[in-house]
Amino acid sequence: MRGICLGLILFWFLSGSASALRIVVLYPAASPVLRALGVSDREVVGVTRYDRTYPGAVRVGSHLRPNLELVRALDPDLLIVGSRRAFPEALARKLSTRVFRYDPRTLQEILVCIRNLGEVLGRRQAAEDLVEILSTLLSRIKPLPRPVTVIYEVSATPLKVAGARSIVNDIIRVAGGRNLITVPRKHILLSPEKVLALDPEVYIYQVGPMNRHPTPPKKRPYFRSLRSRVLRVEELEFARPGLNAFTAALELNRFLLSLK
Amino acid sequence: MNWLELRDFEVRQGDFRLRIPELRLSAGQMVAVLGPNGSGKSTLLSALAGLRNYRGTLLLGGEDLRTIPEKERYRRLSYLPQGGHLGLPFEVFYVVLTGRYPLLSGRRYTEADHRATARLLKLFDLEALGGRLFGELSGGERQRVLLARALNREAPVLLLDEPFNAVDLRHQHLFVRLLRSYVRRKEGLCVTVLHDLGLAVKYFDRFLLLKEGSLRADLGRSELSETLLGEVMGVEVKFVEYGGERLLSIDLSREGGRA
Amino acid sequence: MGSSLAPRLRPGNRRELLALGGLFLLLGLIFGLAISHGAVPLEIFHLDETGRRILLEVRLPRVLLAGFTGAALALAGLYFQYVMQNPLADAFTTGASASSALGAVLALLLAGEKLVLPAALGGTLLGLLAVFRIASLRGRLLPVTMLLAGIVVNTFASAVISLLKFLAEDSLASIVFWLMGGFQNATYARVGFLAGAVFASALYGLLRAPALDLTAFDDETALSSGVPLYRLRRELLLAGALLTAVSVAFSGIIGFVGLIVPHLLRLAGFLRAGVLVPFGLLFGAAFMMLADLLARTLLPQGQELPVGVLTSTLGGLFFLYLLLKRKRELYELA
Repeated sequence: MRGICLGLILFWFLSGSASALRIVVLYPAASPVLRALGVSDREVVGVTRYDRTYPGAVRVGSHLRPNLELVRALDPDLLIVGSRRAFPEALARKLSTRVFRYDPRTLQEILVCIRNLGEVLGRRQAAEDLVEILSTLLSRIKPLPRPVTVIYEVSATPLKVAGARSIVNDIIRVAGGRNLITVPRKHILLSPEKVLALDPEVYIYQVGPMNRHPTPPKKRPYFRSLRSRVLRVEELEFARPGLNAFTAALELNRFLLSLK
Repeated sequence: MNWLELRDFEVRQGDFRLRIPELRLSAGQMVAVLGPNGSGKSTLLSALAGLRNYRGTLLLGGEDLRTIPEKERYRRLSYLPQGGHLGLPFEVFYVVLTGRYPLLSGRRYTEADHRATARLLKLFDLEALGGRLFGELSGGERQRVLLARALNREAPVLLLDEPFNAVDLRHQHLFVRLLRSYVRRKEGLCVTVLHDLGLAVKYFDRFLLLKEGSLRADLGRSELSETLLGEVMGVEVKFVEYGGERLLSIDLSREGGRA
Repeated sequence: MGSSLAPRLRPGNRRELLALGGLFLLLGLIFGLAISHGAVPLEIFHLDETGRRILLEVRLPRVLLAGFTGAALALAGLYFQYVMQNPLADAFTTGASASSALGAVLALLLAGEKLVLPAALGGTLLGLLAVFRIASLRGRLLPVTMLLAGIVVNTFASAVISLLKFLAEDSLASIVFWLMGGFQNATYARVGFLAGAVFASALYGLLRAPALDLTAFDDETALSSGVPLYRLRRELLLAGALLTAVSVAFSGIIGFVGLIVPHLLRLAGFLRAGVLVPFGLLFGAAFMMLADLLARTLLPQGQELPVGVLTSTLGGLFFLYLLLKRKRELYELA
């Protein structure tokens, strides 16, 4: 399994699929993609509680614990869900609805996902256009003479950093950096000693729901001798595998270019 | 000299009231407190030990009990409550040693404390148990340890609440003699709650008969009468002289038998 | 135990001295190991600049914090045992750790890390106040009611933490940190603060060692021995609360240490407060430094395990073994 984004089609309901769809989005990062594909407010009938892209839709709980009664009451034709951990296969089977799994781990996979979504939604042209725009964004990324070493902090207490399975890993790679953490997991509980020993050129820390009020790294006692350049980013704009990832890569690329 | 002196003494606990208008307990006496369950014997003893709120006057060695600082108070009196227990594990030797806590001047027990404890263990036939955990012992053995602990303080006034519970016959007699010589030697006072009339009559000098919270009689050895004893305890008591000793014959009294 | 010998010559005293030496040796050994091993291999005697800074700024304060936290928890457990007159009491059964964790988590969610310590202290004191109100009867503290009240407070605080966890799904990691414990946020200031609390409470206990032992008796026996029982219980409770709150605020909930350290010492035959206080301090410190060393080094590539999970797992397994194999000794202790 290489994390390729598959439109998992479990049950087809022939009726109603041709006209306006009823869509429930259980993975917030997918909503901006739908918006960009031109999916209207009428079609998205349900979203998770902090999803601001479709303000008119019904809130159906959090992305880890959706309220299945609410979801079913909305009688959706299509469910857009995240990873298998957030929305297990068994759960998908229980709801007799088409399920689209949106779980890309790289920027390329995001593009694939967009194409597949376009297919499923009958918006192939819009999907191609969007992929075109995003690819243009990527093409504006300028190469660096050599990869800049980076460590990305997910949370400060406890110290957790992004591993090789995180979307951040690919954003860094595309932007011309190299994530020094190669452990094949999404988040890794790491010893601060290790950060100092790896001595990254750039230390990025995110601020957002997972890292609510972190002390800036250089003000923490264990990072007093940290020599890295420190970059603060917004978690919601950086670490989500959606459209934001491309702008994030471009901006990180600019930052890395400005280092010299 | 009076070790304990009570005037208009009253202890309340819920609905129960213990009243003693006047009582003086003087040096050198073995005092037995007798009475049926719920007559206030234990209440009296713990009040004498300063553990209950009371009205009236209570003098210990001629001084108002309330004004004597705690440590000094418990150098003068040693109280063995009923059903003493220990929540944490300790060796027997140490349990007996802690009886000397009020005598401590520093933070550690001295060599003299250890010697006295060792002597007492020997006296109480507990030498072999010195290193065992208190919790491992049988009920009777525990009671012996706690009695030794109470005596280890060398306080002149002993307040013992049923000290011979679960103690075997041989040791009961051994200990009560030991108490007697202790009281004589120290010019002290031993107030003991007892249920064994035979033991009381054989070894004690003075008898306080309690019933329903009031002191029914305060008698010397010679004043003890069959009827009074029987009435307070709710039994028929007959004295039997045997070999120059006064023994007791006890039977259940019939309801209204005296009338 | 040779009861007829003078105290200085008693074999018990020699045993205690030997054990004290042994404990110091153990502590030194584990300290050495903890300092020289970690996520990054360091040549302690040939340090480069980075190595020196890693040692002084990251590893040393962390090892020290772990040590003092172990000492604090062992001491808190011991004091709670005197208050409750039960060798199975610890910070958990008084509701102290749960209520201080609740304070810490609330502060973390609403305000940030700076307020964690005062909030943890506030949480502990509030929790203990509740326990106190429930368990006090005319100035007396009733141990059994207190155990019950402690369990109620504990359950309540844990439930509120679960609620917060549920509501703040995205911040789960930092909340869970407080529930699993860790020494990442070590600073010399914290080490100093905790060390102060540990030494002050240990001194308090040592100065009253014989009185502490007497609290294990029934109230009447203790009171009629001239021990200011109720005041002593309140003070011990307060000292235990302070130690718990500070260690929870700095390192989260770390279970089992307060229970297992005094228990092992008692099983080894050290029963008196005068010995248990200093031994518990040393043994608790050694135990926790070792647990943190394992947490830091068991996984490859600088990955860590939450230390609270480790102590609870190891402690739980060890306790199970004791319960199965040495039921008799345990039974007789209690």
